[in-house]
Amino acid sequence: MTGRQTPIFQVIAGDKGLAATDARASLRELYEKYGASVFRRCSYILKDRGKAEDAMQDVFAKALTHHASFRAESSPLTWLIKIATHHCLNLLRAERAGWHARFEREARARQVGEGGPQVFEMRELVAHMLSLVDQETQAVAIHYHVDEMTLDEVAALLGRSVPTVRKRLQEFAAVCGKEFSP
Amino acid sequence: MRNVETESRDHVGELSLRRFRAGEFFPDRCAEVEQHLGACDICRTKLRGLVEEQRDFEREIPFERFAGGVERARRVPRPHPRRLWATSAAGVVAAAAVALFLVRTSPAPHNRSKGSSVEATLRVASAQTSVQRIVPPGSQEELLPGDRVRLGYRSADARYLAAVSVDDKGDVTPLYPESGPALAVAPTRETVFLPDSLEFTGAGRERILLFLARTPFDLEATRQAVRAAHEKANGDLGALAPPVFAAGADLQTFSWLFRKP
Repeated sequence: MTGRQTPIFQVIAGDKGLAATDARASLRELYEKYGASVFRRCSYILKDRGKAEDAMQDVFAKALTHHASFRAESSPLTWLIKIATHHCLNLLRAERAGWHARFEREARARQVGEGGPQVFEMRELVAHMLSLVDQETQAVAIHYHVDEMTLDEVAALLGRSVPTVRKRLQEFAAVCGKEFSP
Repeated sequence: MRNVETESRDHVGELSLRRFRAGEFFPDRCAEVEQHLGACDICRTKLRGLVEEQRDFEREIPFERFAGGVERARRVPRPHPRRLWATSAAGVVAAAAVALFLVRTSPAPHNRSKGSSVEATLRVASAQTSVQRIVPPGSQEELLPGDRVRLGYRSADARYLAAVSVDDKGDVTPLYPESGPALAVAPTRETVFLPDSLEFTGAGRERILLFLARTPFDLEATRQAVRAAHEKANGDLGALAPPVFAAGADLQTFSWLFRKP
């Protein structure tokens, strides 16, 4: 924007973040271990590679900013996926994203390439239905059906009780059934 | 779709496989997964897919591009997307995230805070013409439909930055960052424009406030201080005094008042 050349990981006095070299090494580790997983999650929800790359950068930026607490997580990947899911669902909500419109377009495209809109993978089925439920149910459905986490794991991740998660999933299943009924 | 009532697990879940690939498991869980993989074609295939996925990712987005993007996002987080389509009833600021201004930086004019090496600038781009105009801090500006504003700063030393907007009703919208601590910004001799341009929604007036301090401060404290200042001014944005909050004695506040179209 300004043509300014800024070194990567410039250290700012008083910044509680990482020193430049540590941050660089840390970021490479994150890139190699988790880059694809986070990018895939962002792409899955946003359906746009450019937006997904931006969102992925935001997620890793948060990880670096909160490096100490991030490192203390028993599963950094689970933390990243949770943040990525939440961030992208927020982005979609902000855009008032036409999930329906987008998936209608995709479904039409599939009719040519894959023999009809009936052929959905599970993850696409879930994505197709997300617009019909609230944001918490969206997150629950993604973690359960796409990440294939257990009820206990989803409940722990989202700070909800198992019965609440189960209820959300039942609601989601009911919406899916209604959508696909003739 | 997995049945919630009769949840069963014949395979390693996808996230677990990803964690296994990332080396996150303790030895006992790792051995369990390895044992399963030895006997399960489906999970082995899935794991191979994850390895390939990472390889494809590294091909598509090389590390340097990744690192540069993350650092940019860390230095100046994108404005929160909620502003993109904020309802007019809320009267908050909307960010037109995609259409960035093509701003030529020039050494002047800027508004330099007295006795400091900190400057803030705001440009308005018209939707009707390609003309951009500079609005000095402290002034009031009439906006036309589609006008967008963009904030910039220049500081000779490292600072912490935050910007919010407040409308007639006292609704405070965080602009930079969306939450948490103020942004740490590096010293710069050239103007740095914050990402994305902002477009107002709703009617009435809106004031943008940009804060720069030498010591860290929190956005929530800023929001509360702005709300308090709004109350103290009896909702008159024109009479809004600089909000007071704990951000050091050298806190610099710049503000612009807009009448929305």
